[in-house]
This record gives sequence, C-alpha cells and structure tokens, in this order.
Amino acid sequence: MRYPSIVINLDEIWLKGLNRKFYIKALRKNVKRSVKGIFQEEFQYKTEGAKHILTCKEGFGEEVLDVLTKISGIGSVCPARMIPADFDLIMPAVKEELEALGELPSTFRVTTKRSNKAFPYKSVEVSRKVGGFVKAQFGMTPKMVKPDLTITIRIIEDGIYVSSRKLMGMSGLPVGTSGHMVCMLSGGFDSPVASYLMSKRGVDQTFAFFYAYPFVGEDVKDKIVELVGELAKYQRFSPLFVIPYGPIQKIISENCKPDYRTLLFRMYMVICSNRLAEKIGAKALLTGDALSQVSSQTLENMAVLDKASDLPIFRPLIGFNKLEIVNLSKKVGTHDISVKPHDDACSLFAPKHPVIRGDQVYCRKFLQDFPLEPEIEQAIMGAEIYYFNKSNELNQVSVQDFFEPRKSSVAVESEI
Amino acid sequence: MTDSSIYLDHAASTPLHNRAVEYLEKTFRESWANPSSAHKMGRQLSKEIEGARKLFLKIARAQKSFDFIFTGSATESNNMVVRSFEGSKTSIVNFAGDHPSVVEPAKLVTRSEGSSLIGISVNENGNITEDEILKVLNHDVDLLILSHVNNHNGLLLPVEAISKKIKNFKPDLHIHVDGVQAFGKIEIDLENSGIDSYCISAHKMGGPKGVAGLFLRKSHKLKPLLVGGGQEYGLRASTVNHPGIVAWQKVLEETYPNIASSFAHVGQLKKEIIKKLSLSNLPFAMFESHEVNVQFSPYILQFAVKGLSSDILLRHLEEVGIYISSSSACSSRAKGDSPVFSALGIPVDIHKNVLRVSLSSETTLAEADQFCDSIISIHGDLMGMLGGRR
Repeated sequence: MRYPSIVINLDEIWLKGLNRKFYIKALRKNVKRSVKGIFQEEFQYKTEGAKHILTCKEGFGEEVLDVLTKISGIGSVCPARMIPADFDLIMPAVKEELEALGELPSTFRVTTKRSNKAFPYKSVEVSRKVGGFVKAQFGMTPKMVKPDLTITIRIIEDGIYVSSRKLMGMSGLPVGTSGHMVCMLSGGFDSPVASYLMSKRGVDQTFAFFYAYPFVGEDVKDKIVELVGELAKYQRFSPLFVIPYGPIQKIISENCKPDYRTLLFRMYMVICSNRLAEKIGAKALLTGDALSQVSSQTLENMAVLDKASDLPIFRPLIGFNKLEIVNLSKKVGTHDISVKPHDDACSLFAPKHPVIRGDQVYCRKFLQDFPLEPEIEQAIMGAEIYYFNKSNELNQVSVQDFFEPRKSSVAVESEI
Repeated sequence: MTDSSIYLDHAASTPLHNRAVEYLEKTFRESWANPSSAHKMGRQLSKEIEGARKLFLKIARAQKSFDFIFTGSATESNNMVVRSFEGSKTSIVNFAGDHPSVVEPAKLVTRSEGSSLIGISVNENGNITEDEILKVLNHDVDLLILSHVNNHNGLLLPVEAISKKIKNFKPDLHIHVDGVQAFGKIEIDLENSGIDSYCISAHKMGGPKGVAGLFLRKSHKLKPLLVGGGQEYGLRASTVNHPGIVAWQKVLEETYPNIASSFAHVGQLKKEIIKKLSLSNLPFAMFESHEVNVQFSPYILQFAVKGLSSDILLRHLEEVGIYISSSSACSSRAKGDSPVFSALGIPVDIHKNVLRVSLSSETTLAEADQFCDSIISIHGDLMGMLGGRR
C-alpha cells in the first residue's frame, strides 16, 4: 500500500518556547536524512504549524512509516490522502480510504481538526456529516470513546488530509539537540536500551566497546556491530569505536587484588571513555547501569567509577528492574541480538568474590600507581571504527581518517 | 598459510600436496572435457578415472568384491549409505561420538514411528569392542555404523576383525565404516572383513576438496541420492570430477608407499608431545586409556588443559601462528557440554577445556616442540596474570 502523504505530529517540541525553531530545524534534517536513506523518490517536506507533512507523487511505502517511528521528536505519524480544501471532496476520499483498508471493524469515530479558518464548515459539522456518511455507507457504529477506528480529517491551509491510521512515534526530542555522549556498550540487554532512552531525549551518541581479544572471540564483536546497526536507526551519525582492551586488562590483572579485577576494569573503561570523549567533543558518558544488578553496580562501586570520571556519567536505567529492561529491549529491537550467548572476558577474569563495596582509597592509589595513559591512548588510536550510513549499511573508517580535522570528517558525515 | 605458521589441524583439512597442485594447474588448462562424452577427449578422461578407481580398490584390498564410487564428499558418501535405509521400521546401531555427517543421517532416517536408533557406549577404558556392540545388537537391526578412526580422539577400531565377528552373529546386517580419518594413514583390508561399505575423503589426506569416495560391496544395493545421467554405476549422477579424482590418485601414489614410515614418525611426534606436556606445569589431562587393547591413531591427540577455556588457548596460539582445534564444532557453546564428548567418556566439567592436535607426516619434531613450548608459556602467562598482587 502506498500513501501519497504522511502527516507528522509533534508533541514535546511544540512545548518549546523561543528556541522551538532550533528543534524543528534539527527534526527536519533528521527526517530528511532518514527518509532519503531508504526512499529513492523525490518528496516534499512542508510545515503547517505543529504539523509537518511529507508528500510524494509516487506514494510512500510502509518502510517510510517504520523509519519515521524511529525518529525521536515525532509524536505520531498518520499516512493520509490529500484533497483540495473542498467539502464535497471529503466523502469520496473517506470512502476510498476505508475501502483500501479491506476488512472494517465495527466501531468508529470521526475527528476533525480545522486550522484553516476560511473553511466554510466548522470541525463539529464536518465530523457529524462524515460520521453520518460512514454509518450509512459502511454500516459501522459510531462510538466516541475507544472506537476501533478513528478517521481523522485535518483541514489546513493548502488542503484536507484524510487518514485512518495513526502510528505512535518515539516522542522526545530530535537527536542532535541535547548534546553528545559516549555510550559504553556491552553485549548484554542493558546498554542498548540505555542508548535508546537517550536517543529519545535527543542525545547524539558515539559508541565505545571495550574488546578483550584474545580473551574473547570475534563473535562478541560481531554481536556489538549488529547491536549498533539497530541503535543507529535511532541516531543520525553514531560511530562505534571497538577499542582493544586485552593489554590493559592484562596489566590490571597482574597487579591488582583479584577481587578488584572487575571493578578496576570498569574504572579504566570509564577513564578511557573520558579520553575518547575529549577527542570527539562529547560531554558525558552513558551506561546501562541499573542499581545493584551486578557487583560493579552497587552504590559504592558506582561511586568509585564516578570519582574516576571527569565527565558526568548518565545512567537512564538506574531505577529499572531486569525484567523491565528485557521487555523494553524487545520494543527497541535489540532483544534477539542481546540474547545470543557470547563469551564475556569478565568470566575468565571473574574473581570468586568480586568486591561489592569498593574501597575508594585502594582504587585511587591503584590509579596513581598505574595511570596507564600511554596504554589508553594506544588503545583508542588502535580502535576499529565502524558506522552505519543513512541506508543502514555498515562501513568502516580508519582512525587516521576519522580524526583528520575538518576535511575527512565532513566527507564522512556528508556521505551518511 | 605463511611459512612461519604451524598448522596442527590436519584432521579438519590438509594442505594440498604438491603433486596435486602441479597436476591440477596442468589439467585445468588442458583436460576439461566431460568424461562421459562419446568423443576422444571424453574417453581419454574416462580412462584416467578408471585407472584411478583401480588404484583405490587395490590399496583398500577390495578389487574382488567391491566397487568404488567417486562422490563429492564423505558427508555425501555417508548420506548415500544411511539414507538408503530410509523407510518404515528401520533399526540402526551407531555411536554418538562419531562425525555428524554419519550421526545426523542416522537420526533422520530413524525418526519415523517404529524405527529405532540404538547407541553404543564405550566401555570403562573408552573403547568399543564387539562386546559393546553385541550388547545393543538385536535381530531387528538393519545397519551398524562404526568409525575406523574417531575424528575427535583418534580411537582406532580393528574394524576388519570386529565386522567379521559381528557378521557371524548377524550375516544380513549392513556394516558401514567411516574411514575418513584412517585411509591413507592406516592399512585397510576390505576383502578380509565383514565391512559392506567404507567411505573416504580426499582433502583429509593432501587431496583437493570436493572429491571423496565410497567402497561398496558388490552384492549390496543402495538408493542413489542423485539421479540423472547414470554416472558411477547409476549411484551418483553428476559430471564426474576428473581433475579432483586424478589429483587425488597422484597424492595416493606418492604417499601410500610411506604409510608405515609415516605412521612411525607421527607416532614418535605424538609421544614427544605427550611426554613434554606431561612433564611441564601444564594441568594436562588426557583421555587415552593405557590398556593394551585400546588403540589410538597417532595422527590425532585429544587432551584438555584444566582451568582454561579451550577457545582462549586457541586464540592465544593463533596469535603466535599455531593452529589447532578445540573440536567444539558440535558442542553447545552456551552450556559447554557436548553430547559427542560425553559419548567419548569425557567428564562434563572439562568439556570446555578440550583441545585437539592433529598431525601429518610432514609435521616436524621442531614444530611439535614449538607447539609444546608455546602452550606451556601461554598457560603460564595467563595463570600469572590471574594471580595478581596483594
């Protein structure tokens, strides 16, 4: 089925005051990028107050609707047919719309929204007349509250949009309007869901995965790349840094108390992420920590990590239960990837009794004795960098090309 | 594969023998006709194929009572035999520790109501003798499947003797033997046995991939997997793989005369490795029984390093250019317990630590020593790393 128009409804963006234009500009850019990535035909994008409307002669397919529901800032999308602002054309359009649906449910209502004050009929009148028409033509029963089907008629300046479907979007704010964070990814359920939640709030993310080869195999790296492929659908340009972490783990393990291994690994990952953030202009870290889910997520242990970080660490899942996270991962689309088993380096190094109340003094001292700055720099500059372009195709870029000032990063961004 | 690397995974596949490489380079350019064609070009190739066939029958001592059919893989050969028994109420006796290419068809074929798949268990020494087989053999059994050499642990069965004894008990049973890991390394005398079919594979012995074979006793009928042009006695329709077959023949001609000396050389290497590893600090566990009657192929060495997961060791060895196998292809990664390893008698708690080294006649003592030194040193480093400080 192809839809000649799609009406995009905003919610939270509309609450913004003087800087509303900033958000709308960002949203527009993101919508254009995402739609162009999967849709080859020419299309128009126009704004009518709180409505943004996409139109295309050839019509949009389901895949465009799907992509729009993954763009944060969009409240809902309605595929619609557009007719000139003429009352007599409404009934035939409604008839066409309902016939195209095939099997019709038993109850319906008509909602009319009129922003074109020049239109000769009031919203209520239009709803009443159309309602009567639908009842007579299709035998459906009008029901005001919780009907099976809602027919929406939007009367705006340049025309009337008739739709019978509404897909809920992510709401939130457009990506690129809330700053840039380094998202620390693992292959589990949590960090991808954390990424999604922050995409929803408009955060640009650069992903960092600490790759403990040869203590783990390549399958965990493949899993992470696959996860980023899903998460990139909610982002605009989010490179993945696969950072070789084995050498750093080795040094830590050779020199620390065994029960501090896991905590110290995480501490250095946080420091490493800080250094990466500095290089790419990110202002915070993002993790999937949920309070007390695993040993490194106790209050005291997270305090150790916070102390080691110059940048704030955002933890959107701090209050979520495991089951809630797993369920949310299904909506995000990462559940089936996260569920695949993989070797966690941590299990090789996992001490029998990992420390649950990390001693700040010991950790600070360890960091003083082993700052590992050259090793951290080497790890970041030895990273493999992957990204997904606007068509969600996997690409790789060398560290040199990525950090080459202006020229290449512009080239890379414009390609996407 | 660079010169500096040490390849010890010959049970999985082998480097193409020089004679085969030379021959293939030439024949791909010059002899590409269809061996089934009626014209001179085709007839010439067909003649060469028959020459190869005769050699294989000679080496397996099977000229009188057997045919030899060329196939595309040992998996295909195994499927050809086992799936001929597809029907209602089929009863098959097999060993769960065998290669999936012979275990899976057996499972498939015995799925139907009234059919049965009966497993042989190893005895307390990890061996399979006639006793173990006779324990589960009953009058209804149609097919018995054995492996001449097991691809995981190298267990070597005297299949000629066993099959003769079983045939005394049940003459109309079909006995199929998977000889993939044995042929070319260990002598086989099909004539003087109760074996009815025996499969082999080229790429396990220096030949190219994509060509394999099946010895089949003349009196036995099979249902072909592939029908069409009637090639290979109507049992395997397909354009016959002339280059692959003749290349394989050339390899056999080169290597077979040294079968005994190669066996001895590889036996020495295996002993060296076991000795060196046992004397070191490596928590080295082997599963081979020391019972006199239990034999193992010297070409395969299965062992475990306690405390370290096999894939971590594999990756570290890879980093220094040494390639071995963790023979975990069939194991369940998530849980780490493999039904194949359990069937072989390996305790479950050690499944994740099992490794396999497989040698060739070209492997040198220096390479064997290098492997031992590397694995000992890697283990030492990793243990040291996990020791930490106070």
